[in-house]
Amino acid sequence: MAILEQGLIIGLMALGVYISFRIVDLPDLTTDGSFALGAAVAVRAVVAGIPAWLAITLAAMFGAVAGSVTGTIHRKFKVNVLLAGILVMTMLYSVNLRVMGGPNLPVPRVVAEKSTQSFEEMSGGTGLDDLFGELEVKTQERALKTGSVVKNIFNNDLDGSDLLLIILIISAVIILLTTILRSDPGMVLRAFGSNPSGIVAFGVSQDTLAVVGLTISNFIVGLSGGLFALYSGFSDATIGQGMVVTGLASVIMGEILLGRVKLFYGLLSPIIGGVIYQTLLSLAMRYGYRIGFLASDMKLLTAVFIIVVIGLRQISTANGKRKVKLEVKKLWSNSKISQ
Amino acid sequence: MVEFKNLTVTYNQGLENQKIALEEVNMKILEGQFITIVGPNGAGKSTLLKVILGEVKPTEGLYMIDGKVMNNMKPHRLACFIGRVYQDPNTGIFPALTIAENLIIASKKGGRSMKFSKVKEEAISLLANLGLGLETRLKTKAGELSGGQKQSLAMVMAILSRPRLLLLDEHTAALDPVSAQKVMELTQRINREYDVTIVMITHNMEFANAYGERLLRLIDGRVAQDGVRDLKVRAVAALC
Amino acid sequence: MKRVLVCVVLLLGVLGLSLQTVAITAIVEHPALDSVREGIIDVLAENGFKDGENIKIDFQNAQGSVSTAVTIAKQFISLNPAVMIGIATPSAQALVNATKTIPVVFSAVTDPVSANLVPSFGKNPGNVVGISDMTPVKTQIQLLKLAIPDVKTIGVIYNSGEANSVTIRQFAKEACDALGLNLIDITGSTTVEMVASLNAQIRDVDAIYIGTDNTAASSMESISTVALREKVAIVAADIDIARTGGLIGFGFNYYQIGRSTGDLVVQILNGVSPSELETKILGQESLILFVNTDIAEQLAINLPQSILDRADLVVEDGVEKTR
Repeated sequence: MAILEQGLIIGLMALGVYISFRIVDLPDLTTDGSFALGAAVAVRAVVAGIPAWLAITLAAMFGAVAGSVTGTIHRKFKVNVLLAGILVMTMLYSVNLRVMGGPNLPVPRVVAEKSTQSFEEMSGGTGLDDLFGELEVKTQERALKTGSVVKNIFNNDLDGSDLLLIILIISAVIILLTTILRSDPGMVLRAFGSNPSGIVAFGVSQDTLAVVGLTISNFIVGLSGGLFALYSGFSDATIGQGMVVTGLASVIMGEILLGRVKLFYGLLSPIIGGVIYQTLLSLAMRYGYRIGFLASDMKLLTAVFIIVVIGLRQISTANGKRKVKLEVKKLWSNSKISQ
Repeated sequence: MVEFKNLTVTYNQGLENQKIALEEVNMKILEGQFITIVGPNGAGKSTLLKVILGEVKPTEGLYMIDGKVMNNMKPHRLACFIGRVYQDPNTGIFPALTIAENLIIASKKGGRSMKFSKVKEEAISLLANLGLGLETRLKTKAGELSGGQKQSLAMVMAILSRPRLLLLDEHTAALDPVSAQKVMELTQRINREYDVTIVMITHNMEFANAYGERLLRLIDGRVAQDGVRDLKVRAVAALC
Repeated sequence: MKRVLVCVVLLLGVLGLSLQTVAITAIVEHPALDSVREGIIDVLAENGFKDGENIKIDFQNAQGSVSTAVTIAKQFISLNPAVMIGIATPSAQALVNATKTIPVVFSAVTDPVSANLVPSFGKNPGNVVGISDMTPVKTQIQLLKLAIPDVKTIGVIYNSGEANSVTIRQFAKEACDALGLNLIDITGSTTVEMVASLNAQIRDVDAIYIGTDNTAASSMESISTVALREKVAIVAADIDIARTGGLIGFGFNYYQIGRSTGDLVVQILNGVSPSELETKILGQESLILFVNTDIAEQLAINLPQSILDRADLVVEDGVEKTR
């Protein structure tokens, strides 16, 4: 059940990746950064006493801002979208450290009773104290970081309440997204993804659409980052590492299972893909050592998986089954990511 | 409606590979005209269309619409009243959307808040007139259609988007003769029934001779020939 | 569905009873963290808890990924282990947040209070206890000043993305302020960045201080090459870091930290509740002073006899001798 919960949260992140890679067809690498940004913002907000549900909303909104920055850099300064994403992701590493006020920020579950003490204060000496004479340093008083235990929206009891909450949030996101994408502006967004230059002929600016697409994508990624941090109980500077590739693997996994389907099921497929991917990951870690598989091989395996699936699709195209000119482009962007 | 004054377009200006695409073009396109442009490759035909669309900015001279200078207008703004259909059938439609959705986007062009139900009937009759059976496949993804079907859909979309000016760049080149003929007939109808000004580039001399009241020949970026033909269709156009 | 779930839970329960599981996880593969694990496993074996005989040791490495660390923690819960051990901050946090009942022992966490693992050092209610690898930063800075009396500016090399290092840097700042020294941050989130910022700032510093930073540990070869070229001495909080081109090292050996962690685990396996055990640092008797006289000579530093007298490990003419 824990794997299911985590898989759903990762699946939500994959849904964000699906929006950028599949619907608006922009290979966006902001994801690693905006996931961590969502995590940082959510925990920082909770620590500041903001209710958890508002904290994850903030996380999503900050993610959205990150996405719009990538979109703006890409369109206004004519920077390749991969590079724009990498630049924003790099910027966010520093931003996240500032947001968290350090590299790691826990959701308060216990109240610190004493401020952090140095080794010398706790041990009463090091055995070398007589050496220093006039170099003696007096210990300083440090202020105790005050704070209180925060009520998390997740209780980690595995009683099903966390799972229910996650499913509720995901359902809300999917319903909202379906409504948006079925509406007229949403249709234009999908049109843009399938023929970016064609949409200009109908009087819509590509700039706006690219920014809107990446904003929506990273809104979802930020939300998922915030949920993940509250669910895990902490945020860390490295929490977003490898998210794009994980998201892509989930998207592809979902497509294998459900195929290319209608809009609504299309949005569901990365979520299902995320759960399957997490389960496989977990099984690989658990039993993989029997065949000499190390956790460190996981990244290679994931990238190879993505390449193989895309390769297979190419072959089926060559046989004349489907037109997937698009996939060549995707194979390219994917191979760039896995490097 | 469209007017060029001493229009010159130079690619890579100041660089070693500098190339003059259009040189001192002076001409007027009148409302309702059907102009056919011919000329060898590299004569500047497509560049001329790109200038009209705002995708290429004039290096010198003026590009005007209704007497207003449009030299620095953004492409998506110009697109509000200009339609286009190109050679590659995939450029004019949105493959990931259904035929119905493609038509909706066309009918809402330029932020018009027209209800699709109002134009639905017209769209369906236009599709039915093509005789391709598209009108019964509205839920089919446009990407699954054949080249001729896609191009026909693109033309119907161009009609629904109600442009004042329609630019066609070898829009029948990728089609089989039967489809090409059908698309040309539709083109003629757009000009006559919907009163849309048309600028068409073609390498097909048969079509060049049969369609259009004014023939423009470009060679090396200059207007080599500009003649009005009496096709008993419209008033005679003024020469530049 | 529900029935299947109940069966699975029961099955896992039965499996759990048949052989007690000790679940260990570390955030990354790293010599220091690997030594911790070895120390734990050795102490368990010495106390009769042998892997495959009467307990099952399950080790998972998160490969530096926090989301993998969380996956591992969730997976451990489903095994219902007798005790879970988290090595380094993110792994420990993931375990602690995943359970309220299964005993969790953390290790090699410098500041467990800020990491919110326990409310304070000493005995705490709850299921969490552990060993901090807090290092005597103040003494290390004092040693540096004693060895190089005319030092004015110290460069602290660390990864600002590592929680442990940020805490240590804070203590280093306090000590520098008290001794009237300037502190310059030389940071990098990767080994490449770290060496680049060292190259950029090395001329502004008279000496280098390195805490127990993982990124610095991985880039020691390059760091020491640059430092020796510019004739700048390195003082380190980790003996293994000091061994790679450092002048002085004063700190713990991570195997010892592992052994102390192992002692806590053994007590828990013998039925002691974590709430009756103390979260603590290693005792001063485990501290090791390392001095490299070859490097002192290279840098033309006259090490005070007082330091040489107290050194536990001295490198002389390329040979390390234990005193």
